[in-house]
Amino acid sequence: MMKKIRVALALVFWLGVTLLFLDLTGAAHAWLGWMAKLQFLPAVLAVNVGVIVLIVAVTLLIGRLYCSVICPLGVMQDGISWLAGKCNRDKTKRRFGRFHYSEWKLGKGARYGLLGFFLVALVFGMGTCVQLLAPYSSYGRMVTTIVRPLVDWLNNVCAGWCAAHESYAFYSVEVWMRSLPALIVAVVSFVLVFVMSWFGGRAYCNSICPVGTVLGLLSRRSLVRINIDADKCSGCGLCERRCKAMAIDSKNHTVDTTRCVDCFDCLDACNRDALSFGLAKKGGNADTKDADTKEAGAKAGGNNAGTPDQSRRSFIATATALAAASVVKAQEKTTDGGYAILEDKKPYRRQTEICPPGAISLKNVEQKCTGCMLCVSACPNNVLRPSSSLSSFMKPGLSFEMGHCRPECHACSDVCPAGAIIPLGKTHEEKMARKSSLKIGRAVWIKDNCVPVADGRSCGLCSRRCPAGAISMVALNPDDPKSLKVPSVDDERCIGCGACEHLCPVRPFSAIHVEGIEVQREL
Amino acid sequence: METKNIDRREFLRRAGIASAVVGAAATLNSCAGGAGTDKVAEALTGEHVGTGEKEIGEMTYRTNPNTGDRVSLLGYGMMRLPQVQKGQERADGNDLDQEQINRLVDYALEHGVNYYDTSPAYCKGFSEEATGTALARHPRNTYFIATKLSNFAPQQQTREESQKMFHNSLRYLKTDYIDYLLLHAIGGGGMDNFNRRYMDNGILDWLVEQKKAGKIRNLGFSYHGDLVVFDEMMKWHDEGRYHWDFVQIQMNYVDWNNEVIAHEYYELEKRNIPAVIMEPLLGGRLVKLPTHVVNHLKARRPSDSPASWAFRFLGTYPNVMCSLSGMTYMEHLQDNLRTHCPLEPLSEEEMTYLHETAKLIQKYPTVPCNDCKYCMPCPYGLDIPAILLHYNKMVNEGSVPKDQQDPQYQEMRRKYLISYDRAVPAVRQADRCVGCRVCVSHCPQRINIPQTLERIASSIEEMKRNV
Repeated sequence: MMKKIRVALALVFWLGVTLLFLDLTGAAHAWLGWMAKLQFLPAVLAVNVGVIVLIVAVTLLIGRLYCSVICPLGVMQDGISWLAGKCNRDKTKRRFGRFHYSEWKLGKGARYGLLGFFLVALVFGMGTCVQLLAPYSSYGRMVTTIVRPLVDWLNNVCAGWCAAHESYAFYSVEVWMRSLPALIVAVVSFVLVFVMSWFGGRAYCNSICPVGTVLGLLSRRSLVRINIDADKCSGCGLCERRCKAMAIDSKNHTVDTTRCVDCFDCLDACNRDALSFGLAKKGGNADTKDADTKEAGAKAGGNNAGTPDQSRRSFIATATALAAASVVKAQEKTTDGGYAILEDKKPYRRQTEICPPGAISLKNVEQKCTGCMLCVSACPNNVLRPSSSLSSFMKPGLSFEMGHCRPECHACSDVCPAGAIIPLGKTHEEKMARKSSLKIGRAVWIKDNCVPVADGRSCGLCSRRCPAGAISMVALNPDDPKSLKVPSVDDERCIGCGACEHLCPVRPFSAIHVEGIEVQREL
Repeated sequence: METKNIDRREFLRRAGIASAVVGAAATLNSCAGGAGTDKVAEALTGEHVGTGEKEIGEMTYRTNPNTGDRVSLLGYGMMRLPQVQKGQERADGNDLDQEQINRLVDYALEHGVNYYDTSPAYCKGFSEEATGTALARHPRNTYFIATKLSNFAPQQQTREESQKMFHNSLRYLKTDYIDYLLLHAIGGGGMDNFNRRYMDNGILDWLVEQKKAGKIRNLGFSYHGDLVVFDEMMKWHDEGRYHWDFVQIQMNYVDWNNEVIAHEYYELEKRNIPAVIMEPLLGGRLVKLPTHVVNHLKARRPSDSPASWAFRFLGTYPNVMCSLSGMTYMEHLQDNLRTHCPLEPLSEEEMTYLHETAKLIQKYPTVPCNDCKYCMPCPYGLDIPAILLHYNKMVNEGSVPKDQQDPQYQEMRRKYLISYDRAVPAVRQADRCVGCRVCVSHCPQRINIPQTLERIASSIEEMKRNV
């Protein structure tokens, strides 16, 4: 019974969280957004006290139920492990289970050493390694980069059908790879998790996973736990064979609560009713030695993000811009019909990454973002993508080749569970008002690429499309007011939305582009 | 329909089963009479009796006073030819469906259409070749070919290039003479442009020589624009400087209210210069009408299409030699054949009724784009006709969301934006117009394209923001 409830709850959470990443309508968030907010590392980084207290309390009380129900990666591993059990060639193993106590076990020193390393990394702003391994973000990356394109493609099949039948239920979305490094990371971590859970059940959770390690520490002395009644136990080992966390030592009638994930598989395995889930009995713990139960938390420590080599970066940016700049040459028309060929836009190497509106600062993103990509999958304008730069690896950055950060949209700030992007307000109107005055970047004009300079034609599209009215057109030649007009950016009005960069007719490198700023501010 | 049915009834009666049929009809349908009889006849013969549509009869012809050509009142415009599916284009970019074009041309010829109008510029330059391929399968004396000297781009306006264009036309059309040669779309850009294209390079005189040599049988021009150049051309004709054998003008019952059009027609009629008509349906705009306008026409003649009214309007004018229609699909062709075989002129009462309809149509704020694609390719990659056509479609359907208080606003907004994205890819939408104005001089309808696009773009931007 306990197991059935656990499985049902786990499926609900797993499907809910997965849906958050695959939802194309943006509607799921209103209903299921709290599931992302329940995730441990994001809650810690967001200093979401209520959630932290709840998870810690539950873990102290009854153990690592979190790992079996709330963590989507944990549920996925249970699924893989269950499948592996079903596929086992050995009939006995198929029937009675295939695990042995303490297999795949990382020594205590190694485990806590790893945890210590994670803590140090978080404090010193090198969260990248933590978020690469943290379960929820890792799962989010896998879904966003591997599954989402398939869903998008399916959606487009439906949209094609709808278009043919004058229906507006589905509409086409762009299927694109947001970042190659992110895809590689996701595939590698999926293969790692798959192999480990196929052969070792919850091996990943009990050796590598930072959240599993922290919760394991907390659950060491959990009040309610699996107890083995030594009087009833015949030592048959059935429970041990079933335990995918490899936490049961049937010979000594003990359960390692630091590794037990409260899956309750063992309860059903015992023929003699020797196992129960209840208050701790003396001598039932394999590891009674006191340990430092320091709570893991992100301390806003000094962030030594190295000063980027500004001059070198700007040189590279300018060089790529100029070398590859090819201005649209107006084709001379000789016949009717047909289209001018449009080259795809290419991104500039920005000196400073542009953070999503509401992210406050680069530092805030670097410290709090777990790289789960929920914001990336929520962005309807194809603007957000995981960064591939080392200092903010996997964290969201803006780029405007496929769209710009539209004034009415605040999807990313609504979904972030980790406090890396903070909601812009309470109501839609409040959020829109805030967004239209929140400066996230600054537009920079690249004279040599600009249509009037390179092509000798008038343009002014950036000025007409700027939602902030920050671009005005001034005479190219100051002495000749009748000369062609070129854009001039009022930095104090520019909010960095990228409309100018995205819509600029010059391809592949626009004649105006947006640079990030380190701290966002309201104008 | 009637003739055929009566024949079949006659046959049945002669076979001596008429009484049985009537009896059966009475018992089966509890109603005696024509309909019941037809049904039983249908049951007996296994055929459908009649289609509910008029039979295609004999084509109406008009005579060209210069050459005595008997020209079919319906001419085939080769500008809107059927295309193959995306991805099946030829390597050189030719996307025309030759198989379908052959079928349409065969059917048209078979039913008496003998005037085929093309141009070196049409269909990305592939129209002449397709027309030639389709027509060369029939005897040369069964049809007339009209093509044009379409030297719009400055690099085409040298004497050599223009001559080359004419020779290419002969080659593509697989013939050694052109029945009707037109100076293409003169009027735009005034006399300056006309002189640049045809006078400074001496090409008009060269064409006159070609006519003397028999390579051109009729020389004329097609006209778009204000009256300055038109009146000058008529003056030249009167002075005997150049003789225009025919002139192609835009004419239809909506534009008739525009005095320029009527003036052009009557000036030609006065001089006995036969008029060839283009844009009889305004590129389909007189077919894709708001429902209540369609109903207004249907109320008078329920089984006639809106297109038939437009053609009957033209055919009512005796100096119209030929109405050109760009028939993309077989059903367009068949519908137009029903109208023209034979053509029934409008009665005076019908004429008044049609002018009332024109006033209804003009109330709609549609953009007068006829999808001729002369504006394309846009140097910045926009799909101008697709943007304007989508806008017109929304206006005609009453699907333009306006009032945010309207409870249906969000639904209409969604439909509008989705259908816009389906009609035009994002990178070719109105918000990309840089305002270079290259298209403006190409538009025969003289639409201020950049201004219109800006208007559409800003209304869509506003719609996008009103979540």
